[in-house]
Amino acid sequence: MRKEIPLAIMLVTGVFMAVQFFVPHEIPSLIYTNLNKTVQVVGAVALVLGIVSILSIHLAKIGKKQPGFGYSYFLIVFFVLMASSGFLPKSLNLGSFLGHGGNEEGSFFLNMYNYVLNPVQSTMFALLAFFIASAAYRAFRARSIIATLLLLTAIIVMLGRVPIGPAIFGDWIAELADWIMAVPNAGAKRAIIVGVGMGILSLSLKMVLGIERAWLGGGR
Amino acid sequence: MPEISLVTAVWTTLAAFLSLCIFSFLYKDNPFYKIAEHIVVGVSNGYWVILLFRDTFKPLWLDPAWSLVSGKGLSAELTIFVLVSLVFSVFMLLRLIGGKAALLSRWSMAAILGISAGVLIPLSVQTYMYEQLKGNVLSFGAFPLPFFSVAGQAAFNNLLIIIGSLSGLAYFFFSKEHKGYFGATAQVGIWFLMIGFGATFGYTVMARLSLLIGRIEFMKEWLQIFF
Amino acid sequence: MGFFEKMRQIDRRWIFLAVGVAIILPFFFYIGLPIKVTPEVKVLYDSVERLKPGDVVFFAPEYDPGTIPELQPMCHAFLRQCFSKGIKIVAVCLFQLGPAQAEQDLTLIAKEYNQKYGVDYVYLGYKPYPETVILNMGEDFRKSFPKDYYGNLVDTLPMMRNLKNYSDTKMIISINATSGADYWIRSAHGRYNIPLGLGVTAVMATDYYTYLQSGQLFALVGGMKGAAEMEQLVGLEGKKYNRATARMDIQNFAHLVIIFFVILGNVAYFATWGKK
Repeated sequence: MRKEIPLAIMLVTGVFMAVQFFVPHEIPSLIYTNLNKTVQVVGAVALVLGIVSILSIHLAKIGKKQPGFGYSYFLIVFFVLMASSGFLPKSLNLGSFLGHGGNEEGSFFLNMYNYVLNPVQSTMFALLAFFIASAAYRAFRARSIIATLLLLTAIIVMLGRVPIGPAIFGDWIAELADWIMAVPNAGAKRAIIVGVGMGILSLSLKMVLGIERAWLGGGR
Repeated sequence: MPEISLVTAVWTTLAAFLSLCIFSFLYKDNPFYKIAEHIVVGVSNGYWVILLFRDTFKPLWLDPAWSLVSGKGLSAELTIFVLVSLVFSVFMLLRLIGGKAALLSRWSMAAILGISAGVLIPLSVQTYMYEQLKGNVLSFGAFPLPFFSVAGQAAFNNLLIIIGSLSGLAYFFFSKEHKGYFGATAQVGIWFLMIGFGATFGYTVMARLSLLIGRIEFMKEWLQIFF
Repeated sequence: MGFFEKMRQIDRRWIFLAVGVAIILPFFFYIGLPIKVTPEVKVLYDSVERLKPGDVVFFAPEYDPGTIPELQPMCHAFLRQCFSKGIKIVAVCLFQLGPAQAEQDLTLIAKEYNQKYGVDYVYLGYKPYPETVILNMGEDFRKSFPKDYYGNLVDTLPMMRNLKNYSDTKMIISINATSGADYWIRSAHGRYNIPLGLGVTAVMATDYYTYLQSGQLFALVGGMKGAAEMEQLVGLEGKKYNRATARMDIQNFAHLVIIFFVILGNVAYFATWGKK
């Protein structure tokens, strides 16, 4: 019964949600809406598991004094600061520098979001510009006809989609870039999307019918 | 530059310092980068906790459960929803305990995955297959069309899209050997795919540079606080 | 070692330095080249222009701090166009790193046009599992959002009294930095057939042209170029209203540098080919 009951739950819920798409009646619609809400609630609880996991890994790292354990202190401290800041009452004033409770403008929670989370995340993404330039220099080679086609298309799009391309070469480069995006690119991506759709359909069917069981994990 | 308060200047300097810590990775990996990285992981996890509790768990379950317990919003629908969500949530948390009790978390996983997979079955057929292939069929439906245009509806453009999508699909069909006419079709598909990937690369470069421009702009605004 | 062999083995940090200089230098001079508006962006602008004051648009600004340079300008331009025409906004953010950012953007632009919360615009906030939320909102917004982002009961907000689901709005516009864009196409348009427009990062934009061609999207705004086009169309003067347009100037020079590196790398490769 360890696998049979979960598989039965998967089958019943999966078939219901698939069939409900075609049934306009009020009662299936009500069940459908409440099942969706259940997913959100249970999903929110499930995400707690992830947070507990990351905290336990870093606490264990600190406890065993593994290499780099000092950095884990920063993680834990800032996690506690941010998590607790959201529960502080609006009326609590932590001083003019830290801000107040709640989550409006001037609150500690929003200050941490705007001046810690926001800039570090943005800068991490900004690093990618440097790496893409380095990768383009080292790896982007016209080794064959199709590689040359890829390279030429990339150059035309890069020039055509910024104002300097038409300024140097004329409007035709911008129009060519527009045409590439709207026609051959659309055709190619359509092939990929249809393939992806077939993949999603087959995996969903396999899961609902109990053929795909990797989600059950190991063991009996 | 408008007047900035001392508090904002201090917070902005902290943001600039953390940004420079991340940028230092370009020279080589170093403790400043690692500290900034660990700080952002901690802060984003803390942010998630607030989001999940305040914006999801409390309004969707805690408040309705309280109204049920206090007798204000009694209804069969609400009772069933609160109880079913409670049971599945508890089963999910049993994963933390481990052992035999953790096997009950499979029931919660089955419910979530079953609901999500069930929803995807008709939607994936509709969105990724039916609507997309309908886009090919209707291409020839609207007459008269000009033979060629840069981006609008045109017979040549629509023909190319049809050829591109079908030959691309032929390329991805690996159950048949790519020989003869089928092989030639798959080869045409590769050409279209390469054009698509080239366009993607061009746009990716644009996207990454945009993000860097945004950060340099921020650093410039920070320096303008002092100079 | 010959010149081209040295070029092939150059330390990547020199490339990083060159890119850094290419980005920083244009900040000191502004050329202001004209930006050509593409049809897929114009159609969004024209669709909003055709709406009447009091019409409601469902808006989903779903981007994280990492994609602000590309997506925030298009979000601001769109909101400015809507608020200047008296169009009401129901907003939601289903991306976990975006709710606070979305709230700040809405509040900032609403203040510019003296829009009143609850009357002219409403922000519902965030819930996880975007696909289920999108599906539920197609039945009734209150199913997923009994309360708004600020904890007010949705039924107490004047604007929401006559709004039940997507069919009470004129269109859905999602400014999205994630695969959440697929959920809107699949679940909102696919199930409820509501007109859908997307604003996405440049990385994602190439994948969505096929949806534009098939009619699943009626508009597509891609990356910082798309944001600059929106700003041009909205037509407000001043650097504050044209951030993406100003950044496109810097982008020009950076693109030329990247293309130079690609060509140089290929020249070095072919020059040393067969010399091993």
